[in-house]
Amino acid sequence: MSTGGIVQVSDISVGSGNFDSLSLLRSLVDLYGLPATILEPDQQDKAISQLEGGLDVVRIPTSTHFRSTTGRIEFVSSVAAKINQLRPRILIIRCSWNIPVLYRLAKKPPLVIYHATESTTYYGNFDPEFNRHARQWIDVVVFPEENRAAIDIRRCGFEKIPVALAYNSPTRLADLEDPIPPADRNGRIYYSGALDVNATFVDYYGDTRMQAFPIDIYGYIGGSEPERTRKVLVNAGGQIRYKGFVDTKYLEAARPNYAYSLTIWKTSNENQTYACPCKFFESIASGVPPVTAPHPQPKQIVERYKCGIVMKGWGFQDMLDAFTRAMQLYGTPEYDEMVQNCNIAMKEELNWDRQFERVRRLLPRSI
Amino acid sequence: MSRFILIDQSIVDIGGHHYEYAQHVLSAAKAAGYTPVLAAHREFKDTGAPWKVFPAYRLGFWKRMSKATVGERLAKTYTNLYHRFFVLKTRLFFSQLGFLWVVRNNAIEYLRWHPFDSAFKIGYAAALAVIFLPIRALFRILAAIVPFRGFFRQIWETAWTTMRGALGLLFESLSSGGTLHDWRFQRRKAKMFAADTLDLLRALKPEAGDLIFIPTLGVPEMVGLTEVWDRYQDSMRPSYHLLFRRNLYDGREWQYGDQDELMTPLRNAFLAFRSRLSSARVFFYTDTEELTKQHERVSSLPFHTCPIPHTESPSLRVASPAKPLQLVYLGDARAEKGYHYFPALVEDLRRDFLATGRVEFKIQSNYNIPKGESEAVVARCLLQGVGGDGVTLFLEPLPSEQYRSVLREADLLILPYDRDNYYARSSGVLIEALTAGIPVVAPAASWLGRQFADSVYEYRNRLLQTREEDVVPARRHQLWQQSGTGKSWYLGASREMHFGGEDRSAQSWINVPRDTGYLWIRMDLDSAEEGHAVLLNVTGHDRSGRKCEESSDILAPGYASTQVVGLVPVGPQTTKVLVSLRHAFADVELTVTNFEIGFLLQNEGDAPLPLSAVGAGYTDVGNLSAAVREVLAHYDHYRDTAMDNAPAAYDFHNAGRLVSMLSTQASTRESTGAKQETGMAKTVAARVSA
Repeated sequence: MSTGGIVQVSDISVGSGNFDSLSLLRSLVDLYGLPATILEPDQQDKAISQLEGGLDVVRIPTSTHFRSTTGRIEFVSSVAAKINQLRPRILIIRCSWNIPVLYRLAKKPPLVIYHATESTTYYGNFDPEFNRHARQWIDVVVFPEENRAAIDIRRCGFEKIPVALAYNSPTRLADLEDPIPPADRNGRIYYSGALDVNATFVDYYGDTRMQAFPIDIYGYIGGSEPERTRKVLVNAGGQIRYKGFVDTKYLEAARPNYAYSLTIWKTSNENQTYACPCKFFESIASGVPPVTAPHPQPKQIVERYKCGIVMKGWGFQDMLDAFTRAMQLYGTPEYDEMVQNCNIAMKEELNWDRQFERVRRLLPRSI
Repeated sequence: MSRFILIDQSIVDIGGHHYEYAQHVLSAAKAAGYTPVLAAHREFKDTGAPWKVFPAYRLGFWKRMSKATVGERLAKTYTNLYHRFFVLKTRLFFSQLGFLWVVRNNAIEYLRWHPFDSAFKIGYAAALAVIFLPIRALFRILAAIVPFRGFFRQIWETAWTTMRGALGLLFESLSSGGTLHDWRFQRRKAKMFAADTLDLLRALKPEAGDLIFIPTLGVPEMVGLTEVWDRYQDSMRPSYHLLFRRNLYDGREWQYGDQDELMTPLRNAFLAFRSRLSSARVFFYTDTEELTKQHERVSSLPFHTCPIPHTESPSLRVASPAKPLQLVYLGDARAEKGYHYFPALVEDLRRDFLATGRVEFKIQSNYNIPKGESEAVVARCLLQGVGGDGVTLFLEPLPSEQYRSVLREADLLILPYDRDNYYARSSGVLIEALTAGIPVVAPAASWLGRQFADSVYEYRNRLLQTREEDVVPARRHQLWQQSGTGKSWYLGASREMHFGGEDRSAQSWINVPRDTGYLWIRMDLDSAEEGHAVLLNVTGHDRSGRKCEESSDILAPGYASTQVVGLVPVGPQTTKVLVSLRHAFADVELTVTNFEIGFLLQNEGDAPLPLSAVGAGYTDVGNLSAAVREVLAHYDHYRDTAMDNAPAAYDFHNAGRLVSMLSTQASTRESTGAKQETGMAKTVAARVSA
């Protein structure tokens, strides 16, 4: 472990959905030429990632579950002690959950970047106040979504802190591949992500009208009613297939073969209303037009580039209508144009290089 | 020579909207033969203006202009102390001590599951936490043997509640968001305005022919004026002209009834003011018809609508093909003016217009409050991230000269204001653009959209007239239905229709003739005076019944007529349209008469027609980019129609007309206060509650 480099404090184990933060970290490593260390909590079902490019991952164990109050106290204290030892030049705090780390530091590093990947209320009602009183230690805040940014800036008093908006779009221009030709695709729709009858409309798949559509579902069954969720998925007939929880590499390989992807969250909280998931951007990067519920950011992007389909709402009929339209367009020149537009969107705006540029202009030339 | 005394306590320097306003009015007053006098904030430095300046006022109209009081400084100290306390508390919580505190009641349980020391090294300390249990038990025993425990607990709770109440009251009184604090500020404002006005008038020694104009005031200033009249008799010699420019109600006229009770304090203030008018000659104004209605409704006083004075006479504008079109936003960066929509607009237009050098954006971006509203902060960061590629941001308030220069060079003014906040309120910059012949984009059915709605409908009517041979009316007895209620009817000779909100929208399937380029629709709104508007949705279906296009428009009348005319493009693949009409904002029943609908044919290959004139009104912010594209696609047409409209706009809105209006009022014998009830709004008399 090196000192004087970059340290990122993560709220989840690396490789399980935080590609946006990894991209940010890698870009900072490239920009400043410093080694980097990621301090992550112990998610027992996730292996410790081995990362390339000078990134070191250190897992911080806790005697209680890291998401419990005692677990959080342990994690924050241990991480703060580690940071005090490492004395990094750049500290990245990922998510409000880790903001209390700032309170325990012996000395503020020269540059502190707060990557506000979730809304401040996501981890509890006290978090906005933690954020508010921690502003004195934050040099730059990076938000992935502008509505969340506006809400949290107001809530936490971040008006005077330089703010950047960087979409959760981790694909670099250099890594952008040509999309698989539409004619060679499997004509199916895929959904990957959290599976929860109460959060991601899994119950829709139980309806025979929805089962007429060719949908592949990947993801981890969780939430408050996992058994009910599992029952719906296992019993879903027709053309719906539940493919289980697969690793990232499998999904990356499978994704470009699909005709469409689905992005939808129940708008039961701020985070989900203003959803801006990585997988939406990954789908576009793979040349797979997204079918998205009208969450503000996905809607804006799809309408701007005409690279997908926006549902009218979150209702069952809205999803049905959107899928109907999707299947009508598949195989037509209009579909081909959507695929091309995905590529254009990535090249013009959604590539990580462009996103990082918005952050880079707020950073010092050298550190 | 009589004097024209303009009092604006918010003028602190020569930049900014307030001084601009005053400058235009005083210049016109001078031209009309008055001796102009400006009374401004005490911080105003006279920079050689051609009129006498009295820096008389200590407190501006806006709260942010006031210096911090002792109470506010105390509140700030408290905030700083609380911050230190919170940081300390958080440090303690996220430490071994905090951990111990959390497990104190379950220390043994914790140790059972974690018998060996963890990396946090809490094991031994957790073992010590076990001691907490007997200590707690001991206290409980002691508490149990204390006699009259309930009595002492009650005293403690009462004392605690009282203290919290007192602290809460103190906080209300000191903190800038508190009701008490606000009340104290309003009283202070009234007293200081009264004192400063008294000093001003004693220095000026006003005469009967003098005219005092106050273009920025609220209730505290009104209360202050009555004190001045009570204490200085000569102050009643001149005439007073009070201009109110803020919304009283939210929404539109048909929604005011539910808010009348909330207006009671304001109404009482106006009534009290009226009863103290005595022999002072006072006249009331707003700068929009809609605001006049609001103020008359609340105050039971007659108001007049005056023009917006800070305009320039129109001059010929020619867009140079070599130069990018200048898309301009002027005004401070705040959410109600739609500043936060600009990042998306810039991105939407990047590929086709910015990157090709066809347009440039010039966006005023100074905040209205020191920190900036959060939406504006985010938007400005995004715009700054564009990095100067055809986007220029002005981060500081623009000095007058620069403001006028930017406006003069503008090719299109984009004003994505909040439709509801600006239903009744005016936009000075919109009038500046219209009088200068600059096309605009603004929300339909707002005060802004209404300023050119008449021109839009005139253009569409003219289009249908000049291309009469291409006009194909829809079948006479068209079948209409209400989707939610199942009602259906044939549109008969009366050409009258009724519809409400979404469930009661009127819908009809209409076959589209060959070579159709556009669908047009025309109707009179019976309730035109009441702020209603129609939402027109047109969904096109192709031969196989698939939906192939969709568009919508909000049709709200202008001032000249109750008629609205819609014009919507129809694509070549559309063979049938579903036309839907409903109230644009709520489930309120609308009656329209003289309803007509039809198609406008167009030869294949003909250039698309402009859909509007002078400017483009958009339905919702999702259509903002489309509205800007529409203007850019037919720029010469929009520029020409805006220029044609400019002289009439300038004839109405200019400082000379404002001064003339005030002078005419001043020459009337009686003031507003002495006027009889007959001069008041008809609805107001009925609404005065017992």
